[in-house]
Amino acid sequence: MASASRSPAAARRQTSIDRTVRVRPPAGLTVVGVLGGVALLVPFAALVAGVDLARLPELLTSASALDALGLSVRTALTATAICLLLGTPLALVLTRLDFPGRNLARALVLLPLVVPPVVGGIALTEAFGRRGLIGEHLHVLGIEIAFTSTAVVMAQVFVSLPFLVVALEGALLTRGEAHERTALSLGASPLRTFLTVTLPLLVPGLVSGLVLTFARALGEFGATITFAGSLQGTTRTLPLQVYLERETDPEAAVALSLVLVVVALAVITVAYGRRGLSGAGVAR
Amino acid sequence: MILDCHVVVPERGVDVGFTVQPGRTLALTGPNGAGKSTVLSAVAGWLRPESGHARLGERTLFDLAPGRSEWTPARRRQVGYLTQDPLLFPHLTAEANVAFGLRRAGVVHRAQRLQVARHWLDRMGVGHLAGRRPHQLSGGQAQRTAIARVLASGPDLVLLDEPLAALDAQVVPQIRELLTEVLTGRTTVLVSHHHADVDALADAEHRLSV
Repeated sequence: MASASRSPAAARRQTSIDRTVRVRPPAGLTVVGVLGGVALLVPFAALVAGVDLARLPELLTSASALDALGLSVRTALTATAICLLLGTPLALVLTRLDFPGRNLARALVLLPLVVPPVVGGIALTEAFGRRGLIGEHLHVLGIEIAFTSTAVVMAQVFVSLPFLVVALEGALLTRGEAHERTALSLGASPLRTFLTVTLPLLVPGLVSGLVLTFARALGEFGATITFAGSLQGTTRTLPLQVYLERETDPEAAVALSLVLVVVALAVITVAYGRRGLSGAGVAR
Repeated sequence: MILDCHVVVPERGVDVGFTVQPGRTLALTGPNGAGKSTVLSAVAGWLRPESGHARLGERTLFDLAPGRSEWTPARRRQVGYLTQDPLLFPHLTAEANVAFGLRRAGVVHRAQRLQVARHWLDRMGVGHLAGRRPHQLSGGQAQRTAIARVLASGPDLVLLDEPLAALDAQVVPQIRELLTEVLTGRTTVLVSHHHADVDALADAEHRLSV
C-alpha cells in the first residue's frame, strides 16, 4: 500500500546509487590534504595517549574538578538558553526585516566571532565592570556583575551568540519565505505563522546552531578569565581549571582536557550526525 | 465576487488591467516574462506593485498611486493562492495542512477542523492519505491536498499559477477535471501555458504581451 502509492520518482531516489564520475584532486594535493588532516588529529591523539588511566577517576572527581565541571555545565546551558531567546529574534530581524544598514549589522554580529576573546572580555569589563559604562550605574544600585557567575554567563553569551545567529540566518535564507506567505494567505496572523510555520521549519538549523553555541560556551576561556576572573565554584569553569592545573598538576590538566574533547566529539556527532558522517552523504 | 484590478510593476514591464466577473474564471496567458505570475503575486499580496489597484467585491486589496497608499495584507484578503509548488507545510500531515486555513473560515474547534479537512481531502480523492506527511505524497497527491487546503479556507477569489505544470503527465487530465468541478461558481484567475488547461478551466482569456 505504502509503496504502491509512492511516486516512481520517489522510489527511484530511494534506490539510487551515485554513479557520477567524481573530479578528483591531483595526486600531489591529496598527499598534502592528508598531511593537513594529520596535523589536526595528532595533538588529540597525543592528548589521549598522555592520559594516566590509573589516576583518571581520582583526577576527574577531585573537589575542584567537580566544581569546575558543574559550573561549566550550568553556565553553558544557561548561556545557550539565553542565546536561543536572543538569537532567534535577532536572526529573524537580520534576514526578514528591511532596514538601512542591514548588511553592516549582519557583519557586526560576527564581531565577537572574529576578535580575540580576551578583547571581548575587556569590552565586557568596559561595559559592565564596576567602573564600566553601564556597570557604574548598576554598582550604585548595588548590582555587581564582574567576577560573578553572571559574568561567566555573559561572557559565554557574548562569544557564542554569533554561532546561533549565523546558523539560523543560513537556515532562514535557504528555506525562503514561501511557506510563511502561504500561511498568511490562509489567514494566519504573523504570530501564528511564526509559531506554527517558521519555528518548526527552523528546527534543524536550531538544533545544529544550539549544539555549536553550547560547545563554544563550554570552551570559553579568554573573555571569562578577563571579565569574570577565576574563583573556584563561582567563575572558574573547566577551561580555566585546565589552565590552572597546568601549572600545578599537568596530569590533571590532561585528564580534564580529555573531558572537553569528549564533549566536543559528542557535539560534532549531534550537529553533523544527521547529515551522515559517511563520505557519500557529505559529497551529495 | 467581482475582481477589478490594474497592476503596474515597471521594472518587470508589467502594466496589466482586467476584470473577472463573479463566479467566472479568467485565464492570463502569454509568453514567459510577460508578468503573469507578477500579477497574481500582487493580487495575493505577496508583491507590492508600484501603482495600480485591485478591488474584490467591496474590498480594496490595494490602491496605490502618488499620494494614495491603501494596502490590505495578504492574511486579510480572503484570496487563495495555489502555486506550481504545492508548498504544503512539511511538518504537518495532509489533514493538518488542510485544517490550517479553517480557522479563518470560522471553524473553531480543532476536532471539527480536522473533520472538515478530511471531507475536503475525500472530495479531492486523497482522503485515505489524511495522516501522511507531504514527503510521503506523490506530486499529484500533494497538489490535490494543496487544492483542498486553498478551497477549504473559503477564499472569495482563487489564484492558480500553473497548477498542473509540475505534475506527471498521466495525472494531469484527472486533476484538470477535478479543478473544473471544484472551481465552478468561484471567481478565479488562472495562469497557464497550456491550451488544454485554458480550454477546460477558463471562461475568458486575457493575453499578455512582453
